[in-house]
Amino acid sequence: MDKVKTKVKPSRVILVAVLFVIALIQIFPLFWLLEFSLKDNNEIYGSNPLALPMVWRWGNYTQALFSGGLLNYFLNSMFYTLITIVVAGVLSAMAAYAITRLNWKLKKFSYTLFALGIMVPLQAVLLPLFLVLNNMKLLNTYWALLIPYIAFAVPMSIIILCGFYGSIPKDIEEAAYLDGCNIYKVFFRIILPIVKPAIATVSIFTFLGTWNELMFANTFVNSAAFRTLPVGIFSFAGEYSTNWGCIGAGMVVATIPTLIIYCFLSDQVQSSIVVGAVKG
Amino acid sequence: MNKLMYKKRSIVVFVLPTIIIYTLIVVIPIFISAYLGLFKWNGVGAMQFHGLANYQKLVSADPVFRQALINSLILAAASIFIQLPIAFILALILSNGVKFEKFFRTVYFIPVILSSMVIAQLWLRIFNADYGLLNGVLKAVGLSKLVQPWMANTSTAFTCTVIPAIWQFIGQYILIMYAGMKAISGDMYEAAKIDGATGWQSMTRITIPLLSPVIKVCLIFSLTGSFKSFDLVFAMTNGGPFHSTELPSTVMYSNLFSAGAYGYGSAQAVFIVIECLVATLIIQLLFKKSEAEASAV
Amino acid sequence: MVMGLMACAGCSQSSPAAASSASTVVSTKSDEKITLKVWHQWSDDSNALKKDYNSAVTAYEAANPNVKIESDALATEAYKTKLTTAFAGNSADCDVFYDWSPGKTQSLAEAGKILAIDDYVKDGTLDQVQPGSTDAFKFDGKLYSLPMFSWYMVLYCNKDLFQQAGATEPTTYDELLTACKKLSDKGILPITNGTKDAWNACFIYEYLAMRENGAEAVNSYLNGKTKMTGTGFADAAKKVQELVAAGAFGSSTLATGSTDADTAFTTGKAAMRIGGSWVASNVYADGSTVKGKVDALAVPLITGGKGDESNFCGGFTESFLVNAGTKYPEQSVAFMKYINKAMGKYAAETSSGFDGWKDSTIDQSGWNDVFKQINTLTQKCTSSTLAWDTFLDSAKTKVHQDDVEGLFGNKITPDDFVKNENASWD
Repeated sequence: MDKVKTKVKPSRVILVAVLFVIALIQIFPLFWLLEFSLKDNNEIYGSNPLALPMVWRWGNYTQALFSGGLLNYFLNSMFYTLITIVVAGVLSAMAAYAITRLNWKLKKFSYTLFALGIMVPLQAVLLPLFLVLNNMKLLNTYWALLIPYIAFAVPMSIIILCGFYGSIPKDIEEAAYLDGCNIYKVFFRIILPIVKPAIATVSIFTFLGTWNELMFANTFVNSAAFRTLPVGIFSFAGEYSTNWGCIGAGMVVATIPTLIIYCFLSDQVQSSIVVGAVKG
Repeated sequence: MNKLMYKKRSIVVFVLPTIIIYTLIVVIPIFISAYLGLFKWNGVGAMQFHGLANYQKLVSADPVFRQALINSLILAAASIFIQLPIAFILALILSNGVKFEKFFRTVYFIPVILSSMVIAQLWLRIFNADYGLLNGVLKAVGLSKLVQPWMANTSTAFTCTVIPAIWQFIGQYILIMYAGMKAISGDMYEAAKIDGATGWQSMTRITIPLLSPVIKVCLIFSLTGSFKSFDLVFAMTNGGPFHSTELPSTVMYSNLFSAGAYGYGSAQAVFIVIECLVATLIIQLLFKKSEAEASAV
Repeated sequence: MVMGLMACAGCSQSSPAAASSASTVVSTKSDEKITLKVWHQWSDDSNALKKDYNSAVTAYEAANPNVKIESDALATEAYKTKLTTAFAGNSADCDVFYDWSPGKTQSLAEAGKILAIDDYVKDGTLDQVQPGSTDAFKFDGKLYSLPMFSWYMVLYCNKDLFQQAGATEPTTYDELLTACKKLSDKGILPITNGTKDAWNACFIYEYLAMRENGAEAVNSYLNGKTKMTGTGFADAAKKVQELVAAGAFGSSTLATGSTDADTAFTTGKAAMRIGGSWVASNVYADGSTVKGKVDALAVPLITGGKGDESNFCGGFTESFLVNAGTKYPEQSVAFMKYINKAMGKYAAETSSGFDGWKDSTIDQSGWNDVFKQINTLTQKCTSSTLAWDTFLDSAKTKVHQDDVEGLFGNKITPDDFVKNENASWD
């Protein structure tokens, strides 16, 4: 849709200005994170908490990155996260589709069952889940985290996708079936492209939930070989005092890919293809 | 066509693998927790059967948990009546097209990306009594009377945890609603415009109704998120001072991992799940009614 | 039940050395290569103890070529959660692990999850440790571990700030109150305390309780032999409230955590800190503005109280223990002996703590001035009480922590405090 640019309205300018102020408020924590990743505890806690660092301690970064294998943890986290996004995404898209668009008796019950997933406080199921995984002999392997991450990514994804599927007019499938498609073709060729924004949205949340996850990663795997980035970052927290500068540096390193992926995926959210050939 | 929609085999393919993994990993542990809630257990030693005593204590004899519940309701109210409307407005502005839209869209989401630990530390510095930003600003504008130890007073500490909670996740709801708005066909707005509708009418007659499933989703997340909320309060106050900032899950956590009351903590976990379930069902019902009304039009 | 009094053992660094280098060669039945899995919580690479641990392990592996040590470290909170879950789930995949809380270790011992080592120490190991240092590790008559290093609670004073206020460093409780008044009159925060962190809040009460009642009476209570009797425990509670009312801790102490308080002290924002001997290292760390300006004193005496200068808060709580489910008990115990001793020595040399083992080869040249002062003080020590939260089990600890917090906020009277604590044993 082309916008014809005539005169710039003053209300428009004010609007953009207000949006900028809000943006500043939102970006402040990132700025603060960068700041304290360059400080030491004394500056963070005492003399200089909100201002620019007095001494720029790049050593925090070298320490965070090079001692303690943060790079390996980074790769592990990437691995867990990407697989979880893809698998959970596909599974959720299919399940949500079945719940909203297909007809079967248990669909309402299934929806509620999946909805249970977002109501569960993780700390509560830590031990029971540990017992389950232990009995399946999966602890301290890649599966120890992959399976729970996928399982816990599914509920939120299904709920969001159900919301989106609900917004699509039912007539779309009718047109496709009239053309002779089977259900798989309808799903993969027609429905999925329409819900691209939803899938992108869901992927963002799955990414966040998995990339930053700490509790499971801490408990279900022991060896450094399977360890994730958040666990690595929090190794700087000590018994009597915590090295916040290094934690900050680790977090900056962890946040950068998140920002990049978010930028990329939210672009996908922006583009939406709606089949215009449906009668209104 | 309808026949295809009923084909059992395809339904199974679409749903079964997911249900299996999910039940194993999410549902079964909930039931294990419910089972553990029937015992008195310190985590390592012997388990003593306790019947429903834990669950009874929860609802009748635990003032700390009761306060935590009230706190979670306050948080939920703030989320629904402050966070969601603001998110809606901002999503509306962004999806209608505005200069620097992409920049805003990215930046607004930043707090969501950051770990709650970072957010907690930041706001602790803002509310700090001695060198905090808030007190500094108050002093600078001559309002020194209002300066107080925000995080140490039971009357203000909880509010100090609600503010960051609301602020952190606004970006999340902006994103969801924005995506939903983008999925609404532009043709509808065009047609409405041709028919002479104003912006307000477009919003109330087209956007909101079509966005209804998405709004429902946001409400569900908002409520369950508030009932389940843990990270921020844990990092900021650990429930203090004097349990004034406790939330159900912080009480549960301290029972599970600090007080060696594993059975009781599990009972609390189950309570939280049930609470969320009830809230979700209520929302479902409410929306069903309005969906029925809408389609009757 | 942990037996006996806690004899303060780390004091005499100058006691005669027994043959100090314990044999590091393990007698294995065959030459099979085994891997021992060790869990500990020194995950921060900048922590001197971590570096020392790593060198100790390297040395051990060199001396015992058929043993490989695989270590996994997690930060404190994470480590606690992991230990709880792993042992509860019967799947603690480690041979040797570190713990620092005898109260919690006790429940593990009672559940049979840790290996009793009585049979393994008949070779004269016990002569090498400081007397009384193993008391915290004995449960039900069996010994489960050996000491590493200990800590002691002292009063740190910022000389400059005291001078500014014209106050004198206090040796008694009454002098403490006077000093606090003089400091607050000058707008200086008298005592910074990490009241937000429950264990730190408890330090104040526990020190007063020890001074009022004497270490023996407190230990008798902690061991469950007696309840809180007499007026001493209630008086200690009263004094906490007295200090709070006098503004000794400032108005935002409830929102101040232990790290905040440490930093406040080492950046010169408060005149006093009642803390563990580890704060001494903070005073000399980078970024501290109080190097050379700090005195360490014994926590103030209470005139008329039953405690005297020979009592201290602190002791041996940290240790490596052996998982009862280990496949290699002999080798695990051998490593455990070695590492406890090695870490004790390292801690002493880096002024992180006081050695639990008799060793005259300790290099004192790295000691900072404050640590030397603490060392001198602890020479007088004959009995000590551990921090209550490391000694009591979880349920009682929670009651205790809530009660002490209540004292700080005037939500509980001293008498109710005592009633509550006593009731927690029923």
